[in-house]
Amino acid sequence: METNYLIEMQHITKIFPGVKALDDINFTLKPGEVHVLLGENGAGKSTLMKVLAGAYTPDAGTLLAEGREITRFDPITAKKNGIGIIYQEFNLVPYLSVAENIYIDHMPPKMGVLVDRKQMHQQADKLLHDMKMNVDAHALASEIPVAQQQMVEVAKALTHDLKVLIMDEPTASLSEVEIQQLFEIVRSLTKQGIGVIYISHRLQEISQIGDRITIMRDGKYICTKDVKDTSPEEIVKLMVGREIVDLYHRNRQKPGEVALKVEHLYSEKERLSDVGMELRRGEIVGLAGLVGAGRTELARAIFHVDPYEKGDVTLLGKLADKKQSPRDMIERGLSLIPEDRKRQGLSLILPIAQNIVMASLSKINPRGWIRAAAEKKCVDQYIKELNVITPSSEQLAGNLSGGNQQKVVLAKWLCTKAEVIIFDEPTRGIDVGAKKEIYAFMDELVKTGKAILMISSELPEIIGMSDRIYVMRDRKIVKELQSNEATQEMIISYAMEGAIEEERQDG
Amino acid sequence: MSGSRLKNRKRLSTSAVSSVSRLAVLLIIIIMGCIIDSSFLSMRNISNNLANASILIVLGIGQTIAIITNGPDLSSGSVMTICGVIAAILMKSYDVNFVLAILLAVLVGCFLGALNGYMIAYVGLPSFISTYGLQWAVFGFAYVILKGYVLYDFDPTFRFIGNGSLFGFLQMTTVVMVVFVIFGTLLLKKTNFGRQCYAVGSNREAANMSGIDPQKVIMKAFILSGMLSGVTGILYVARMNTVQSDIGSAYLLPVLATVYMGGTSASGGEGGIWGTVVGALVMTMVTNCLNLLAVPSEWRDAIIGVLIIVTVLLDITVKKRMAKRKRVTV
Repeated sequence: METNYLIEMQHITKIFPGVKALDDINFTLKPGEVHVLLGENGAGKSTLMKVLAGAYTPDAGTLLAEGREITRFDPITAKKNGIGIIYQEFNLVPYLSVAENIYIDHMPPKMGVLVDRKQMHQQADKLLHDMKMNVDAHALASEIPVAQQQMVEVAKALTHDLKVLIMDEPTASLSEVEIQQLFEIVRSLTKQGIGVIYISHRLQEISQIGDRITIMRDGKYICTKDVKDTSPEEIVKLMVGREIVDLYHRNRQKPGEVALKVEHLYSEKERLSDVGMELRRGEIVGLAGLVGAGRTELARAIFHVDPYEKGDVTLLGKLADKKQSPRDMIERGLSLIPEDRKRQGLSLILPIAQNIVMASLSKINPRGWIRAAAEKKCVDQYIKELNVITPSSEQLAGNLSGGNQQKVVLAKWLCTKAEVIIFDEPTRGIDVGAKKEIYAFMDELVKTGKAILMISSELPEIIGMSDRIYVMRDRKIVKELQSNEATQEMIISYAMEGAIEEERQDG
Repeated sequence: MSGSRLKNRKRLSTSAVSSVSRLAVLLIIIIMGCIIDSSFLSMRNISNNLANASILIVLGIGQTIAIITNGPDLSSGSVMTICGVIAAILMKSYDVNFVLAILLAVLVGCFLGALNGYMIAYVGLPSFISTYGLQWAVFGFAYVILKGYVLYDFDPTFRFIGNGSLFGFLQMTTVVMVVFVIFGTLLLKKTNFGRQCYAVGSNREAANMSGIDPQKVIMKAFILSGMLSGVTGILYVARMNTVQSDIGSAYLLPVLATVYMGGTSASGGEGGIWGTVVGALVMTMVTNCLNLLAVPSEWRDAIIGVLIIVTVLLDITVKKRMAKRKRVTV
């Protein structure tokens, strides 16, 4: 039968013990289109893509690739059918070179058993050049930035006869400029007739890159639409099954006294130079900038995880000593909610309860003995307040979804009764429902007189939530903006002044 | 929300199920023991098994704390030896009062533990290297100070700790063991320090960001391991009434097997004292069964080896199953 679809999935159902992960899903992909797959965490997007990539066998339904029915489900068959997938967590081997990673499963042979390294590097160089990428094929995968690792994953997929490329949240760790670069590559792929399936939580990307969208909710198919016929509001409504109005809701108020003051901060190791800023009670201050501008490094220096040589950090009127530890800062009322919740925020193999009390052990149990009742009270209170969805507080943190994990991290820091809280990318990789809850909570916090510094790469979030915005570039704060006068374009232009001017000259 | 469907489900926690699987292994061995010999569950045999397991358990408590926080303490057998040797020499050659001798020997254990802790936490050596290196040095030192002699026949008051008994059936070694089991359990489960051990072992960076000083915690954990190795050395000398420069070498691998069989994770942050107690009882009772059956010693090792692998495999399988079911529903 002749068909013009690259992929046709009909009535796909996948049952795991106790739950229907996919329930009668239909999905099609045309050549040369970008089909965006949307849904909250746990909606079944990744499961569906794993069926397509041959990692799971469906319990019911049919899968057609270019009109032919697929009956064998394994990654090698999928690859033979031209289906490539880039997972959210990359599969590069850190201690192999870029070229070796690209050709990992079919390195060009020499004399039967050896690898023709010269040819491999030449091919890799050419491939990267064609993609207009400035990556050294000899560099180790672990040495190149995350954005380039992403490109290497794309290059790796391209070495096969690629017809379908699945990208699972490819922009989660990219900066604005890098996202645009990635989109360029995606567009050049679709021009060659490759179909791209794109999973993302960032709604503003959809209109930029997507042709059609399919929305899933709780393992069920909701609908498929052309992007031009829909709006972000409608999409969100369909995703969550209810209307989300006013995502960035703020009760603005007059800021109070200065809660955190940083003056002339220099750090040799983190290359921070002459950073100065202040944060008042009742304020959310956004810290914008490109990845690598030094935002996280500044937060870590303020929190005294990393050292700084010169400069003053004054917290709630008290000057902090350079030799102090995070513990001292926590005791004085500072919290840092880190960017990488799995590595720095949580102990995934410990229960939720132990994670929540981790930063306030000496506060809850001042004599060193665990006071079970006091701990339970604290844990239950924040699980309830933050609406952490879990069967019990003894559940391991690793078993929760991203949004719920982030709420546990939040609970951990609220439990310390901090007055000043630094949020580093508070909503990265979590769904829109959980995002809204976290924003509402941040607003609640500043209403009670706490102060928040929010690092974020999502400009709508920065503009929507902040009262004031600092923009960092090259390890310095280059601009302070009031949020009511700030636009995305302004922030980007300050964050990457040089680049923008060049582009203007070109255009 | 996606997680709402599990709200009304209540399940046993993973750790509860895995401890049930370990108890099942213990139960099977007890049943097998009863089939082999009807006197297996006699008061006398139980009392002996408990006392024999005690050395492994006390040594295992320190090991458990070290593994949960950072990694195995491979020097524990040697520290046990040197502490036994020092206490023995102090009592035999210098006529030191046995209480003082015990205190000094345990202090040496603490010091050696601190040395490990310093190398691991502050210098940054992997615990495997630091403790393995120390093991060789300490065994060598024990040999040097004892010059290959065997010391025996100690003060009866001292020996009471090892082979005395209360009410006829409760051996003193068991009493000492129970005291330390309670001590270890309380420490790990009921104190901030215990929480910090799990926090550092499961995610050192997250612990550091939470205001816990990982270096201090690791230091303390290894001091404890050294101290408990010292206590075990004393217990051994008091029980056996003899000491040589290699008494601990036979304990290192069994104690590691005991701790891992007890469900303590080799990658840290997971496990506990109760598992170690069950692990030690399994080890001891299997040996007892094999003795009753008069199995030749060369076969014994093979059987124990298989048992270790099977027990840990069972534990891992159960945990994996549970994790799989959970991951899908959440």
